[in-house]
Amino acid sequence: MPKIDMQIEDFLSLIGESISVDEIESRLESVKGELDGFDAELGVLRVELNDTNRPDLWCTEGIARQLRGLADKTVSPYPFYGREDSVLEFHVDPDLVRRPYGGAIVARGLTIDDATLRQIIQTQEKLSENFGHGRASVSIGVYNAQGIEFPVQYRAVDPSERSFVPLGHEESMNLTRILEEHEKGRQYAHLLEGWARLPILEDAQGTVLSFPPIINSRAVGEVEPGHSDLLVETTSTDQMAGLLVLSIFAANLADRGASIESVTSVYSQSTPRGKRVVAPVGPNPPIQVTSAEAEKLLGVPVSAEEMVEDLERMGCVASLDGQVISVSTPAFRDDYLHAVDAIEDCLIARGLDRLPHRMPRSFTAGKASRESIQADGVRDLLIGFGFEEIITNILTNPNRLIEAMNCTEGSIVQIANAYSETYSAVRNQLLPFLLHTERESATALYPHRIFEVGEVAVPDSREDHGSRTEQRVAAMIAHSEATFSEIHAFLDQLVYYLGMEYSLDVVEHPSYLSGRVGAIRVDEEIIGHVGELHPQVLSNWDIRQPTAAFEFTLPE
Amino acid sequence: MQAEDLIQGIHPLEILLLLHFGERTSIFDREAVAAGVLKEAQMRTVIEWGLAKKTLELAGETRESFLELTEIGQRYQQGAIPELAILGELQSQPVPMASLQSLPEYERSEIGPAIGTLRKSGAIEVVKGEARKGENEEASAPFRTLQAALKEVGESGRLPASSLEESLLQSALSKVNRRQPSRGYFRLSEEVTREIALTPLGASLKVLVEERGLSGEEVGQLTPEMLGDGSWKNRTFRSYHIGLAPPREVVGRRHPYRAFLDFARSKLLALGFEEMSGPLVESEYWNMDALFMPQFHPARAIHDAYFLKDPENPGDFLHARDEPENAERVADAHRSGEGYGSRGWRYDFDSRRTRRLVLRSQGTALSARWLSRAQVPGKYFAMARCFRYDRVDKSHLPDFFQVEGIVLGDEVSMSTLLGLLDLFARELACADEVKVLPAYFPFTEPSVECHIKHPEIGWMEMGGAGIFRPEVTGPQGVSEPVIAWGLGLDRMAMVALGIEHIGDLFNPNLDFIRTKRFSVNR
Repeated sequence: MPKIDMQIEDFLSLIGESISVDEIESRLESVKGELDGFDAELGVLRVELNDTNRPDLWCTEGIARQLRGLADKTVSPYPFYGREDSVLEFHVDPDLVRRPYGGAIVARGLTIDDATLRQIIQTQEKLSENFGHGRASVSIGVYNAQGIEFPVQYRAVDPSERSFVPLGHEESMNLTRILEEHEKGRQYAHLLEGWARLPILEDAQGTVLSFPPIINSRAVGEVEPGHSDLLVETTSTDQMAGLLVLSIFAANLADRGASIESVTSVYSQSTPRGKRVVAPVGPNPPIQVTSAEAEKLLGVPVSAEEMVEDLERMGCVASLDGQVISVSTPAFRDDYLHAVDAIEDCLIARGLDRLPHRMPRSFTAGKASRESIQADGVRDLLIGFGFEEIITNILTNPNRLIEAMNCTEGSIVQIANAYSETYSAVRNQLLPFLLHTERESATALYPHRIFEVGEVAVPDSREDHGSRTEQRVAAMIAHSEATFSEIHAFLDQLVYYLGMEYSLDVVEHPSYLSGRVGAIRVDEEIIGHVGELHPQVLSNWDIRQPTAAFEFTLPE
Repeated sequence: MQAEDLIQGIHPLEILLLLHFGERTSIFDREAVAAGVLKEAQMRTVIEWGLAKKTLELAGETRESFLELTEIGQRYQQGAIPELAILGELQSQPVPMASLQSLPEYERSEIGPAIGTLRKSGAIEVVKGEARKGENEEASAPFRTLQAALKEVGESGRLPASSLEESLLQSALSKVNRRQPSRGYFRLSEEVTREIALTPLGASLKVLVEERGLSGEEVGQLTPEMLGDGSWKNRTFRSYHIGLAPPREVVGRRHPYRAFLDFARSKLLALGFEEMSGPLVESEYWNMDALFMPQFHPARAIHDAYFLKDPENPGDFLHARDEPENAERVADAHRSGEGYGSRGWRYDFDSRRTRRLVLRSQGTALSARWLSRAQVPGKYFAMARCFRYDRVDKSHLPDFFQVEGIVLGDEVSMSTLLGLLDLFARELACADEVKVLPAYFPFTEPSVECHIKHPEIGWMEMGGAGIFRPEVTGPQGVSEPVIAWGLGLDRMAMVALGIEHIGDLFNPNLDFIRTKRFSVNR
């Protein structure tokens, strides 16, 4: 979830009200935000935003805009969305097939100070990193618009063809060198892996603006306090996502007093939105919702008129036609997929407090799962036998399942992207975890009789998911006179009370002492083993007590 | 300690000793043992108890040496020492040396040295192979003295060294072998006799014992024999000091965290929820796609779930074999939303990705699986082990229990959802105050998070809930609204068990586990 910093002065001036930090915290609920902290000295509010589908709220301007709407009940529509055409053009080279979309807007008449600049940069970062998947689907460039000559060209060029001075450097570098040497180049080079020709953004005079999605040119791509005109551009693999970002920037900069000029993206090929796409685009197509649907979902009577009012407070354009409300989100939001999304906005606008709390009345019968009933039964028996239950983690180090158990091979479900080796495999047995408990419990009063009932995953190519989840029981005794016969006695009792018939096969198993291990056979199938742990295993686990154990799979 | 406290757990042996004092203020331990009051070992133990409890004190200590016969000494006492036996043979006439060597009662190894000793003392002489008595009668006196010492010690069995006449004592001591006592004639031992006195506390304890008529004959343990022959009727039973700490026993027990989980589970069962179950290894389909989480959703990135690798094909991801049920309908919901009243996510849905395997990252995967087979009305829950890509620290476990579920029915709405959250707060957390805030989950709309005022920790987040999106329920053939809910019980478990570090829920040290308890006393 994105976290942003807001300057409290800036924020209060944007909402046009002076309210306390407590009040801010409470109002943040309606944008699904949480106040993470307030630095009174610096006047910085740290806010976490939980709605991953509302990137327009990941900035001070967006939060302020929604709170303003909720407080005022009126939101003046932005006039610049959905203009038919524009004199400014952004030409897109059809060769850029792997990042085929580009667009821009121009904002003029701003007063950019340090605080504003920080907010612009923060929004650019949050949107390109979180919403744009680390710049993979959308990247954003912001430039000083003065001196940039239109049409701007988004072109594919040979890597060594063009050179410019990138941000953060003093000397001119070609594109290959930027990817190899520039900090951002190395960080984002993977996004251009396998590209023969690389994207570049330049103005009508051939001045390089940037090398998207990597780095801006230092000459025009470094916005500073005092600048008043900005060009904001996006390049993307997802046309709508790029346009949404431009719409968010347009609203944000307009809220700070800028007048927004549209820019037409000109494609030679057709795109989902045509060959000429004017940014910022118009509001999203309307969806229909009725008060009956809202009543059903919320469980209270709702009037259509109220809903229209609520939706308008949330910044939408809504109209009532008979019983049907037609509502479209503003262009900087694209989060209405279904009528339920509009209904939630109505709920938020009106407040959750207005809903009654009603108990469901339908009768349903409670029922434990087969697995739980079985596990409970085994637990009850073993606890009655005097065993202490343990609960362990399912993820583990594969060595614990194989080498530590004196085995040379084993079949294990393994994680491809493990966070650490310690938790890189799913356990395929429980016994190693009982041994781990024994190792950690050498000072605990003896005798030790411990058990676990739990899930393990066993690879099985016949299964749809390549593995089976089995429920197992493992029990272990450790004390100076622990023997096969003692653990066998408990196994015998347990199996009897579980209503199973078993026999023991004489087998060899590397985890157990030869001649003191048996394979547990039930219905012609081996379901587990019982025996005295091999001294090598005990030594591997640094255990100084004779130890005997059994483990078997509980029948389905 | 007061005498009144001590009388509680007084041992019969202590009683016997106290009574043995009679009117005396001090006694000698040996004397008491000799009188048959207590056996020697019992005496030592009781004196130690008395010194520890400060009922007795040491008034004095004397050491005394005792003589007793060794096996050799006993044989010589019954017969004669070899020297006197040889002198006896020579009483009337000289005897050839050869026949002396074969005296029947003695070994050659005894005769040889004895002849040497006799010749040296002058008690015998050897001339031309014949032994005869010496001229000096007095030369044989020391041997008679030794024989007399043997007699005296042998007859009393054990004799204080001080009671022997000086000449006998010296003679006896000359036949004590200090290195190898069994090779001497006499064994010398030292005995300590302790004089034990009653302290004032001991005196009052003795008074109490007498007042209560305790005899020390009280029975410690009731035996099967007493029950069998009815002799218990004539016995009195010694009272125990029940204030003492008992010995520790190792007992079988549910894990304390399990006790907490079972508590929550039994509540949910009692509220009419049916338990769901499912595999640890899930497909992205049930874990994400069926929950309408778009494939470009940040929570689906490589760093948010654990993907599996094919052991035979390292580096690649393992995929499920078969296409899951309703997969095409789920794909439609993502692509266009058509048929579900939705615009869909409008992206290029990758059907192959639905089969990629992950470790179940959220319990909601089970709810997704259950939708198509759920009863309406119906209430379901699961306590599922879940796995999330995260650093393991004070508040993150590599795998953890998630408590999640669904409620289906025609009456399901946000209002009944709020009622349900009240119910959970009351039943599971014993909290009466509930605060509900808007929240976001990709699979529910509206979505809320629920905060409760926990009786012990104050305001805390209890969980999240919402109404499943029609894009989730529709493709699985469910047309009624469905509440989806999830509870974060781990924090409550930590409070209930007094645990600071979440990893301690799975702490492997038995000493630690044995100190933790969960009790439902609400």
